[in-house]
Amino acid sequence: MNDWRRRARRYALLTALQLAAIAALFATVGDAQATWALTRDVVFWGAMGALLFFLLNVILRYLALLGGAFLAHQARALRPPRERRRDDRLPLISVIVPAYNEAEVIEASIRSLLRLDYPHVEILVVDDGSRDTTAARARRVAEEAPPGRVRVVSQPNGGKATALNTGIRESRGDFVLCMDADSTLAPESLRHAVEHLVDDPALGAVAGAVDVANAGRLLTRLQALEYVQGLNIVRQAMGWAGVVNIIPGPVGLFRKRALYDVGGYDADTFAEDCDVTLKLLVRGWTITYEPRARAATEAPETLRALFQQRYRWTRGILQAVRKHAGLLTRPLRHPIQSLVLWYMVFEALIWPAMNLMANAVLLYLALAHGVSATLVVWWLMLTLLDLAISLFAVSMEEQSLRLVPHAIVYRMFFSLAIDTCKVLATLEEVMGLGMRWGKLARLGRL
Amino acid sequence: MFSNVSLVVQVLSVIIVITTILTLVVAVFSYVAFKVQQRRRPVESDEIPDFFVRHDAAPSSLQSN
Repeated sequence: MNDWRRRARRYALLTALQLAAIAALFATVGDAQATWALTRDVVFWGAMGALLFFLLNVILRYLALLGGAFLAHQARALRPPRERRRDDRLPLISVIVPAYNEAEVIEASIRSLLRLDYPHVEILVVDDGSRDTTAARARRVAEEAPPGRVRVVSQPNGGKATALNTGIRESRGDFVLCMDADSTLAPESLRHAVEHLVDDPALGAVAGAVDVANAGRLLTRLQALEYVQGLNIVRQAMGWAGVVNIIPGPVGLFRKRALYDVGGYDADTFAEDCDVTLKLLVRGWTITYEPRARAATEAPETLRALFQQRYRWTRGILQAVRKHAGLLTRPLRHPIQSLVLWYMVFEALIWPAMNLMANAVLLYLALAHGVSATLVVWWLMLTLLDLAISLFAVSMEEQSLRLVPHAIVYRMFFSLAIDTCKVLATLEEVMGLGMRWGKLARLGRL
Repeated sequence: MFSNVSLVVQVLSVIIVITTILTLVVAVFSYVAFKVQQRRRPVESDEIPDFFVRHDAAPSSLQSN
């Protein structure tokens, strides 16, 4: 790991020195005015070229995602409807809820599980050494529930991954649903998700869709739009190929045998959901997406809290990708897994930096060259594209159309702010700075 | 007509430039605020040591037969 960082730093330093040398060469050749004019021209056309390259990337990225999502949707729509399986033929599912200091939300979360439309379910709340009243509140709801339906297991604080592993060990079902304590599940979720696992023995897990539970403010509505057009659509597209790259923490149904096969969850990254997904893919399990298995989760309501969350996501995903980095260089042996990992590198590393660079270039063109028409046309094109994609994604996921106009603010503010956070978090990860889990304060909005 | 269009373009471009700069400033400010807050928060005695020590998911007890 240190060697990798040293090489990254060395590469950055050498690149900077090379650019400085080129600039010095320009400055010493010819008279200063001609050199300046040439430099301006080179920078101007370089900037225009960079913008076109970015635009090409935008189009290709959207084309790939929309194409995959469209095919997945068509396949689902054209498939004859499944007969509703009789209750006595449905397997037992163990729902695992790891909880650390979740007193504000744990009751709402368990109550949503008691409303599930599924006959054979056990609910396991793993209290991960909470310092608040999480365990007591969970036990209170357990006592109100039908006997044996809810179990509360307590363990010394060991982190989310160890809590999930405890839950897996304690579970009795052949299928386990891992969820976050700050989320609630839609009643039909288990019934729809388990069908895939029963029908296909090669399937290791089913990723569900995530909605924002508290979409009452502008910032949370923007996240709701992001969840639909940026996350669920990606899962839809990848699910079509059976290679969903992140099973979301709030709703993921696993075949227990597949979890045993990969050794359960590891605690050496800050994105245990991404890590376990990659481990499953590497072992050859397929992972699909079920849009009717839905979780509603509490989204951060301030920019600072949002950055806290995204900081952990970004660094956690990079840690998980680095764990499996060997696949990047073995595309022939594991073509699909390698492609998935390259996509994650693109989304986590390249895309945010590219978005920031494109905005910086636009600012430069507008301020230094006064190219205001280019700026406006560019911005309008991207915004129109975002609006169209939002409309497509919102319709496909059957969400409120009122989310669509938010695509304007999304383009103008949200994506740029989030990508700034991602780039800064990436820099910290590359520099190897220490980090903590950074648990978000729960708001009790479930 | 043309002057109106060019005026709209000018106004829009100014809005875009200002919004972009403001967004970048707000984003960096929020990031710094989050980092400062995180640094000020007291570390719970067992938070880091317990949490980030590698845990192998007890493979012996998780292995299937």
